[in-house]
Amino acid sequence: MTFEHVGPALLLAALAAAAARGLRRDIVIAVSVAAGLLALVPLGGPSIAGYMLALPGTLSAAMLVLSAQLLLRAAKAPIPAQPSNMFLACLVICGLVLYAPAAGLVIVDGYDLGFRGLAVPLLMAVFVVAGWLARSGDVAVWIAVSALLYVTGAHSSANLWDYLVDPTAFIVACAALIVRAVPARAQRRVNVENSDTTRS
Amino acid sequence: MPIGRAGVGFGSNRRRFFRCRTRVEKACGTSYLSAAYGGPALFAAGPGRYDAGLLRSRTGVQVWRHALALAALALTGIAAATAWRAPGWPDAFVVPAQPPACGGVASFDSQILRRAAPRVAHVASAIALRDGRLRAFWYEGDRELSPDVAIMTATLAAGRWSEPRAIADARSTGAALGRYVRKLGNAVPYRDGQGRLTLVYAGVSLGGWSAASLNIIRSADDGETWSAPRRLVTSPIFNISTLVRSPPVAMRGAALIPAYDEMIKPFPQAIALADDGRVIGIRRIGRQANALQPDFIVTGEKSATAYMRSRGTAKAWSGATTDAGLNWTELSPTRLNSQDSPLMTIDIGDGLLLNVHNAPEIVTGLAGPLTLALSADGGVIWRDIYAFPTDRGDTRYPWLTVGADRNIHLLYTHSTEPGSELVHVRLTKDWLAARGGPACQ
Repeated sequence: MTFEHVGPALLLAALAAAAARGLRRDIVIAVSVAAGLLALVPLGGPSIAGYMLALPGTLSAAMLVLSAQLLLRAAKAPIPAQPSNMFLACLVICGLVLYAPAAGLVIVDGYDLGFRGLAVPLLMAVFVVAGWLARSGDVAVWIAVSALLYVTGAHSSANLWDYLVDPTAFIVACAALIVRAVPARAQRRVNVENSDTTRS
Repeated sequence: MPIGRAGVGFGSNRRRFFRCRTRVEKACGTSYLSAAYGGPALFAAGPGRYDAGLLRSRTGVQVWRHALALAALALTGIAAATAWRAPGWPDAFVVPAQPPACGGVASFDSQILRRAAPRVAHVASAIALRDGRLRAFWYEGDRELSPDVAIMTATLAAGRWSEPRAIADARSTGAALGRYVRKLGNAVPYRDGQGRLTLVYAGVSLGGWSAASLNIIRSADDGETWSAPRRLVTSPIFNISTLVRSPPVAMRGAALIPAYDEMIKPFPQAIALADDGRVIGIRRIGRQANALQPDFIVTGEKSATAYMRSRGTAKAWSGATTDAGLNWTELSPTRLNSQDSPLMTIDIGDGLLLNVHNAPEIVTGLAGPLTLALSADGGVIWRDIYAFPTDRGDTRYPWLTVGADRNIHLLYTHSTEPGSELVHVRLTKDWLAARGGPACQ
């Protein structure tokens, strides 16, 4: 087992917690811990986490943070843990820079920048500042975790991009932003927030 | 006196804060810390009424937010320092080892390396060993991309091939990597800067070749024993769609692996792999798509030419670099036939290039027999000098190398339907001279 297995285990724990979210909080926590541990148990070959490494592959810090947020929400943690729009937008920006060239659709190749040099760290610093201005703490957490994983060589990759974002996180971010952009849904959220503040 | 009572100026500030907070949170979404600002409770306190605890909570939250951002910036700085110190793109090629030499005997010997039919043995590769033997690698299984495919190896000594043995299969590769691997594929060997025999091979977890990723194993004893596989990360999209086919070339402190991506339309790449087994750079070769399986010919410390197969066209394409593979020219068609089949080129010294490719089949124009060709002008003009006869089945996937005996060794797949066999040909430079090649002094 390597550190790369932690990502799929955490994702599985979060999904299990989300599936059990209607139950009591302690049960939700127990279910998520059990699912996470079960993901690491070999099944006569690779573990569930090992199968998940085949698809969606090694998960980046972005997916770790998104999974942790899902887990906290499902476990009804006392802090709100919705991914912020700024965090999701940063993920979409990273994905647009990376994935079109990697698929050969665009010639300019940003992936090579992640092997060396200051381009990607500068982008990370810009994200941190943007997240700080927007009061989106999850951006800082994401960047901090990415940097920590990269510096410690937690994954097989030597490319900083692979620690920042992965296709799964990009897809989740795009989907979340699209859903939030639906006007009626956005208005309902504001109305609910306002009615909550009036009642209390 | 509670902090925040109207009269100390908090009433209008509170209303401004509420309006600002609503606007910001509408724009940026709920953050981790919004509830800690005392959300609903704050506004229920009434104008000018603040609970001291809430105000302390708000200040505490501010501190946390700033601390988190500072910590992220500090870690980013450390990451920047690590990235700054990361190995750069290798600055020069290592000019290849000895070209073939004349030995006084024009010799062309052909033998079966591996008769696998009705199973399939395919995509052979080979490398000279330090003790004078030649070691070959290939994959073998019930069929191409079947789960039972294993990477096989055998050695040539005193003109005879040893019994083949498996050195990697899907199960052992998956167990070592801790992830699911279903099938294996093309394997290419090279010798790294520390003299270790290194094998790069493709593995597939789900799907077909377009979902392949690369792994490496190393041997310090010329292939008798091998290290555990290590995965190479070569693509940000699930790390799939990278394949190899041709021999890597040596660089200072690294190797340059000719590779190609097959996700949508195939395109060629050059992957720089450090001696510690980490990918340190990937550069696309040219901007065109539908070109694959590049093969590098090093022409100088910083210059090389890549010949490659082009999908859907009869001629091979080429591109060149003058800065050790960092940048490549646009691809252009050569006068070399390939019939959308793999080809291989080696430098045989005296300014000559030897190539093996599939000539067009006379009747159909499709891929015909394997054919040897020579170029004396760096690959501009090619002259076919020999076509391999085939009684049945097609011949493809050639691999050319120079052995420790300074002779030229060619391996290729002969399809026998069902299954296939691998053929080994040893030919001398004297034989080439007799066919219009460089004269032997």
